[in-house]
Amino acid sequence: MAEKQFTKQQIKIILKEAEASTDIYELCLRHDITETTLYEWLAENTPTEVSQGKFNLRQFMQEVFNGGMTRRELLYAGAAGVSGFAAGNIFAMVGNLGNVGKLRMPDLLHSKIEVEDASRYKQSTEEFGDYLYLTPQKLGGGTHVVDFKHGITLASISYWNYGDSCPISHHLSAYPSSNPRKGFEFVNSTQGGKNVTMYSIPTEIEERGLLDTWGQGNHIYRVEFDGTKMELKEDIAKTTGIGLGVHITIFPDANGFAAADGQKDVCAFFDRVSGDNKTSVLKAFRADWIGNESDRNLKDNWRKGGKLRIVELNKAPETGKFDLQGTKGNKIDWEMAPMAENLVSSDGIPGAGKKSLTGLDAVVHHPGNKYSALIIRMLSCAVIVDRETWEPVACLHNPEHSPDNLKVTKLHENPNTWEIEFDDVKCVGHEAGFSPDGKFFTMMNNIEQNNMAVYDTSDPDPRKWNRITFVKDPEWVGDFPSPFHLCFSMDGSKMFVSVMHEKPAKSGCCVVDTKTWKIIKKFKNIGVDCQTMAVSYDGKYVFQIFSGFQRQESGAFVFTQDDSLRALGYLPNFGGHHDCVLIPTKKEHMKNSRCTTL
Amino acid sequence: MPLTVSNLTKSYVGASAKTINAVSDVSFVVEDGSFLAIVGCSGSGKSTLLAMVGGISKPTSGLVKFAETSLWAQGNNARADFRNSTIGFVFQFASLLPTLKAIDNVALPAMVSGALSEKAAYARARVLLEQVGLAERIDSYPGELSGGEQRRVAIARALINSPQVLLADEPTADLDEETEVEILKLLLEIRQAHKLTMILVTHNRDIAALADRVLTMKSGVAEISDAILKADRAEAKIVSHERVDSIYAISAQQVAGEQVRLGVGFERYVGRFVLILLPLLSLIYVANLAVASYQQSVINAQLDRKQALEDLAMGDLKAGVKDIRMTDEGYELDLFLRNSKRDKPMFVMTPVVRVFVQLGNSWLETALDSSDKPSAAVAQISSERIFRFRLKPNVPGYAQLIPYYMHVRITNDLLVSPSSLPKDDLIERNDSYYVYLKPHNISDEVIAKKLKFAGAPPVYMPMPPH
Repeated sequence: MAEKQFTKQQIKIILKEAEASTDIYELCLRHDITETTLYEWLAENTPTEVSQGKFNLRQFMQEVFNGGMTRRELLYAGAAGVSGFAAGNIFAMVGNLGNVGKLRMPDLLHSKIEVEDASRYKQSTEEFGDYLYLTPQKLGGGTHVVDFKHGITLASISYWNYGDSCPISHHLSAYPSSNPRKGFEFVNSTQGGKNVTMYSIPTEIEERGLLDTWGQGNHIYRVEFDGTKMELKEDIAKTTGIGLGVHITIFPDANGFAAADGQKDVCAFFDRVSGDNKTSVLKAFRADWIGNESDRNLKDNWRKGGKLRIVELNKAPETGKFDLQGTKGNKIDWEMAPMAENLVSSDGIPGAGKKSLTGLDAVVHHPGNKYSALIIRMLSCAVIVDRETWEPVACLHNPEHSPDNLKVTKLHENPNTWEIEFDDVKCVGHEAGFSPDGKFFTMMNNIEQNNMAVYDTSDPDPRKWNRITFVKDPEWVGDFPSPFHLCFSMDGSKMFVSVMHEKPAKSGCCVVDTKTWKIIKKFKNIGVDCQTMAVSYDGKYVFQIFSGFQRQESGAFVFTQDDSLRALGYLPNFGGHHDCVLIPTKKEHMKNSRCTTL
Repeated sequence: MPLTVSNLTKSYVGASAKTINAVSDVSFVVEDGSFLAIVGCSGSGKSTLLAMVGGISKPTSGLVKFAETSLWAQGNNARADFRNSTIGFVFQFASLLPTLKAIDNVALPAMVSGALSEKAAYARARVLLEQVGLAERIDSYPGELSGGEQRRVAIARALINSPQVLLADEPTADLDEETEVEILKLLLEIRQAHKLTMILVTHNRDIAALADRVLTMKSGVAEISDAILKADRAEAKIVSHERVDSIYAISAQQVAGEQVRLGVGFERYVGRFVLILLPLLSLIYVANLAVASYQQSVINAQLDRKQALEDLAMGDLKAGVKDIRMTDEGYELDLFLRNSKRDKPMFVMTPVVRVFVQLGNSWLETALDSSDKPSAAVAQISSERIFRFRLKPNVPGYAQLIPYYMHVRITNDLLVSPSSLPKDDLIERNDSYYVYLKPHNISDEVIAKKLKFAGAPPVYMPMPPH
């Protein structure tokens, strides 16, 4: 007897009929089905008939061979092949033990609505390690912290909320925290004042009075993340009277930090406090330039040599504070953008103290925790200061064909004043850093010379540190492209250097082998304006941030630290960022954090 | 083996709690070696009755006893074992596994039950297939067999575990009349040869007439009558005892010489796959790789060209404000375009330059004259080329971010190509240069009071590149 095919709907109707019918045999005859078929349908559609026993493969197989399966099931079994069918049931069984009804072939074909827990997918950035990633937003006026574990921003802070009427969140550094998700502390410098006028924003911020007292920038904000939110604990500029708006670098022992500002030529060293305690200044210095030919062509003011004078600054006895808040002490009205040192020497940036400008806008620390280098852009040099005696002891002078270690002479005390003589200044310089083992120091020569001077700094006496080579690239000619920021791999075997191209060209970065000081790899066209870099402390990744003049395209390009130097792609970011730090979880991480390099 | 059925009932409960009796209180006895035929029209309950007797469908009430063993009193596993070893089934359809050969289909139940070694199972399967007349079709797949041949395989399969009872549920339902008779004859021969107790469900009363007894089902109720022995039954005695013995007494030699066939088909299947599909797939794969590789090379070449074009326009071509000079009434603006890679040719459509002055929070365009309009629309840039413009901005109340100075935006839209007759090698570059521009009507002395310069206040102050 050939079996007719029935749809599910037809079967339901026949079963309904069967329930109402008094003559089941007539019903079967009428629909041309056997009673067995009818009862099979009944069994399939009556929940009480479903066996609740455990699935027994042996019994099941015997049923297959002994005809205990429906023909439809056999058909499927034949189509799938016995092994496939059995395997399919076994897989179904694993997820559904004790529910034999679910194991039947027809049920395998039933469609289901899947419900998934979205929070399980919080892993998009997990590969980058168990770190928190802290980035200032520059013109965005705040800073945010992203958890790589799940790519979610844990918290953010906006400084205008605290009454800062022009917060340009500029640079930062974070103290180590064994469990950053529970809490960590960081220090964040801001700019303001006329700096907002160099981004070509048609703004009325000046006319509306927002660049007055609290919009002048140069705040040094101490911020704590408490596991939930970020809270501004202190404006160190207000506490101490020293307002500095550029690089922040925490000491290797994490017991304090340095800040600097190239518009004022001031750097200061601060102690570390937490909670509601107030920060105090350990020492502050100002740098001044006395050009040999300051009255002639402005360019010659620096080019023809002169004297770099370092003066220790003192608090005003009446206030117990320094008098360097806001724009107080600015030698130029806005900062020198990268490669904009020539705008100063061509009188393109207004400012009352321009001729004495040195461009001291950063301090980096030797990982041995004793010496710090004051980075001076207009002269391309680094003045090494002993943080135990607070005496400048040496001056590393970077330009090729110039003496590499200049003598520091103490002129007098009260105030303590030192002088360094320069025969000439062959080029300007910019960012710098120490290798994590402290054996090398390197700094960029820019514009007239475009290279990186490398020093052997393994001798305990900085006066014996000497320049051993230059990192060069035939492409580094003229203003751009030029080496800009740098950092080292955790093992110190490689130096990563961001390479600035003039917009609209995109910037890139390169990798230098620290054995040979040769470039071994270049990443081109990463994004507009590559800025500072960071490495993950597990030795795996390098993060190259970029930010097109703080309000154009921005992001972070990621590649591996290992020898494969494999590009991984881009991380998004939430504003034009200018710096980035992975929160150190151990004190020794400072050697590869915003401490030794810029 | 004698079979006793007492008061067997099967009822179903529908969703509306209505009880449907498929089989009602049926009792009968089948003596050892005898043949019972069950007849009745469609839906009369005969298949259900057989399913209960065969241990497949559980009765609602009643007893099924094989000799002294009560079938439904056993646990599931025990009943399955008992069923597998004692009862042979032949159903309406052959239900052979289509991916296995005839001999595999026959041998498989013995291998699953574990009653025979694998080799012995195959040895017996071979004998059984010979006995049902399929000696030549041992290695055939069900799809290669006719309906009658498939039924013969199903009969052989039913016998593999040496059952003592054979249950057949309309085994010839879908066969033509000639084949039906042939198969039924075979069943009868087999029954006789193996001395099996047999229950045959059939709607064919002629076949039923060959049975020792006939049970007629009607609306779930049974009527039993003795059948008349027909001459056909005597004619069916064609299977010799010698052959029967040979079924159950397989020699050690036969067993040793037998090969386990299950999986051979699979190997052959895999072999076919390897021999035919794999080279074909490999060929397709290689072809795909080649096409993909070619496509990738085309894409890469395009990307390289695009990147080279971008490098040329954005990097190699330098552009910006060279100088701005004050004239009696306005300003002279010099824009430069410089080819920093002089060895590479570079062509630029005449730059489209516009100048804007900040007013309030927006940019107001100001008129611009080009003093030295290039003779050709496309200019070759081999070293540095200056484009001069005259502007006379008149924007009363312009914004003063820097005291007195106008905040000026100069846009420069360029089309750049390495070719003088570009086709697709053309790229657009949109520059903006920002300067602070000294006004005409304010003296240097006044400006110098608010802005400190080493010399005279400059005509313009350039901002970093954008």
